Order: sequence, then C-alpha cells, then structure tokens
Amino acid sequence: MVDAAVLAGCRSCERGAQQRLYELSHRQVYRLMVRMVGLQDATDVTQQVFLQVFRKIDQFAGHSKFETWLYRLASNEALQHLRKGRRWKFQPLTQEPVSRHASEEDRNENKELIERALSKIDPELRAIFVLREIEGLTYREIAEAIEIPEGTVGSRLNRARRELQQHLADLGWEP
Amino acid sequence: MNCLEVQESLAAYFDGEIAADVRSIMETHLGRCAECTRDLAGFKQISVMTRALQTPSPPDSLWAQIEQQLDQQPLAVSAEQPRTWASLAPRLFALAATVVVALGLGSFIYDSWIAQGEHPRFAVEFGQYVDGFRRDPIAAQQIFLAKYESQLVDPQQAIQHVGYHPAVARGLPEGYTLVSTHVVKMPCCTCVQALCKRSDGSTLAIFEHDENQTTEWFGDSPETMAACHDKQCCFVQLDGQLAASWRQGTRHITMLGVEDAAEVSQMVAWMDENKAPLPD
Repeated sequence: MVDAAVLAGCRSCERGAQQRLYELSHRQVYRLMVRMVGLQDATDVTQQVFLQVFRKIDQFAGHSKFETWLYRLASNEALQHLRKGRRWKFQPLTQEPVSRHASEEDRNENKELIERALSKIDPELRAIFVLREIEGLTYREIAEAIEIPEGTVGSRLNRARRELQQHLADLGWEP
Repeated sequence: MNCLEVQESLAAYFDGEIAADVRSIMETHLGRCAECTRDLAGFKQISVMTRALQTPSPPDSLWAQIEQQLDQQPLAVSAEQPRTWASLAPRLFALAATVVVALGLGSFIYDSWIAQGEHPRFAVEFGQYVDGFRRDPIAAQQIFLAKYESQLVDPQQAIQHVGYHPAVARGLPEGYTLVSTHVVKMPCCTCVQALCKRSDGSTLAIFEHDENQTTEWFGDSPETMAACHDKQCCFVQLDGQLAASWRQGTRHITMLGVEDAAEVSQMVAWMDENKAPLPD
C-alpha cells in the first residue's frame, strides 16, 4: 500500500519514492489497462498513467484513498486513449496466458468469449465493470474513480452485465 | 417489489451493495420468480468468467522506460539537490536572455492571436464539451476535466485555490444535489465548476468565474437578455440546450443545461439570499 512517506517523497520528485510507488501499484494499473485498451497498447498507456501520477501528485488532496485517485487517472487516460484513436473497441488478447491445466478447454473458450464480449461494450461501462469485478472496488470507490454519482454505479453495472450477456449470446455462448 | 424494481437493483443486490431490509424483500421476490433468479444466475456466471481471466505480467522494462521519460522531462526541481545562486547564475542569465526574446516574440504572436479572437482552439474544445454535455453530461465532464488542469475540491476549501468562496459553498436550492466541485484552469480563466443533479436526475453545470465569458465560451450562438429576479441575465441558445450567465457580486455565474428562465430566476434569488460571507 502506498503510504504517506512514499507520497511525500513523490511530491519532492525523489526517484526512490517514485520507483516505490510504481512497484506498489503498477500491476493493478497494467491489469486495468489490458482490459481497457488491450494488450498491445497497455504498456504505453500504463507508462502515460505513471507520468501523469508524478506530474499531478500535488493535486492528490488525500480526501480519498490514493488507489482510488490512481484508478481515476488511469481510467481517464484509458478513455482518452480510446477516444483519440477512436478505438472504442480494442483487440482482445488473441491468446490467453496458457492455463496450467491444458485439458480445461471449456474454461479457455469461456475466457476468450468474455474477452471478446468485454471489448464490445462501451468503454466507460467497461471501466466500471472491470473496477468492480477484477479490481474489487466498492460502489463508492467506483463513483470517486469514474466521477459519477454513487447512485448510478449500480444501474451502469446492471447495463454492463446485460450487454455482456447479450454479446456472449451473440458469440454463441451457452450458460 | 415487482420484477422491474428487482431488476433495477439486481446489480446492487449481487454486489452486496444494498440495505439489509431491501435485500430481504428482494430475496422474497427471488424465491418465487424464475425470471429474476435466472438473471441473477447470469450475473454470477459472467462474474466467474471475468474473475478467471489471467493478466500477463507487465514487461520488466516498463519502469526503465518511465524513468527515461522522467529524465527527459523533469517534473520539478528535486528537493534533494539544493542549489546555490553561484551555481545557478549562468543558467539564470541564459534563461533571462531567452525570456526577453520570448516575450517579444510572444507579444507579437499574442497580438496576432487577439486580432483573430482569443483562444480559438479553446473555443473549439469548449464547443465540443457543450455539445457532449447535451448528450451525456457525465462523459462530457470526464473529457472536459481531462483536457485542463483540474482539481476536485471540497466547496468549502475552494477558497484556497481561487481566493473566494464559490456560491455553491453555501449549498444549493432545494431539489438540487451537488455531485462534484472542481477548480479548472482553462486558457481563458480559472473557474469553479460545480456539477449538480436535479431531483429528476438531469444534470446542470454551474461555473463561477471572474470575467464575463459568454462570447469566449459560446461564440456567436444567439443571445437574449432577460430579467431574472433582480438581475439581467444573458441566455444563450445552444444546439438543443440553453445556457445562462449573469453577474453575481464581483464575479459571474454561468449555468449550462438550464431548463428555462424560471429556473435561472430561482437560482439568482437563492444566491442573492445566501450571499453572506463565509468564514475563511
């Protein structure tokens, strides 16, 4: 967890503190980016996120958890990246990392289908869904990260899940 | 609870983000409704599939790339390296010479720019924000905040950034809820922007700024002056929506997404009644 000392060091542009912050949080940012912009662009966008973090660290007022602020910057960067390139859909992973159990073909097929379905939904819905299902944020944290009223998080997750169900059905998925 | 009500709250139920009493009512409904139970099972299946996704590790070289960028574009002078005037003198001299040249050149460019209308690129960007606000205020807000240097603030604390207590620091009229308050540094000015919701869920943006910005922000969109409460307000007819601007004390208020003159009159009256100074 990023603590006050690391944040203070980053505010003073101390390289050691910046590296510590990166080490503590780069996996979660990269994970979000892979799901948001796709594997091909995830590294570049993650890099941009951390440059933004170090540039804007003085703006983190401490009203929310640092991780929530980080997710806000990361979500904004991903959405901007998609808008700039008009890449509302990203190319899903062509091959998931190999499972340790090679016989689990069904599971691998499901992974590919959910990847493809995720790539088809609106990026903002995707961000909300990923923050909930993969990053495990509460509705309040999602509201702060995406800057939407807390009361609308549930309705957007409802929409995201129903759209995913529809896309999965279109892709031939059978529950 | 009927199916429609249960469906609306199904995600919150599934995510454990619902009050215990509502959960109990929903459970009663789910116990006898096959359709809603099937939908809930669908949510569960999608969740299981998503959580099973594996993410490859980020490349080991990523920090080195970031560090390289940091070296090329230092963000600020490091506090670890105190510098003396003697060591900085040659650099300061060179910087001063550059500034003199840049000021002359900048003045020329700025004069040319003014001659063509101020901040033309900003005008286009703000137009895109206004247009987006009509279709999806939340998405437009995200793009808007990402474009400019902005900071989410507590309305009571905004004075630390702009030197005054914005009107929204005193609250909002009944029927409005404050969603967020940002201090935004735009090319034209630094303003306090408050995103508000009406009780019907629709969105209104309230900007507070030092100078009149209607021309800068809305270009040559048709304007009409009308008396609202005790003030002359400028209404700007935009594509499918309305904005209004008026002088409030020593500053200006601009509202985007207003319903009609009655709403503006109500807001003007409320701000007039609640203008007593707040403690710093």
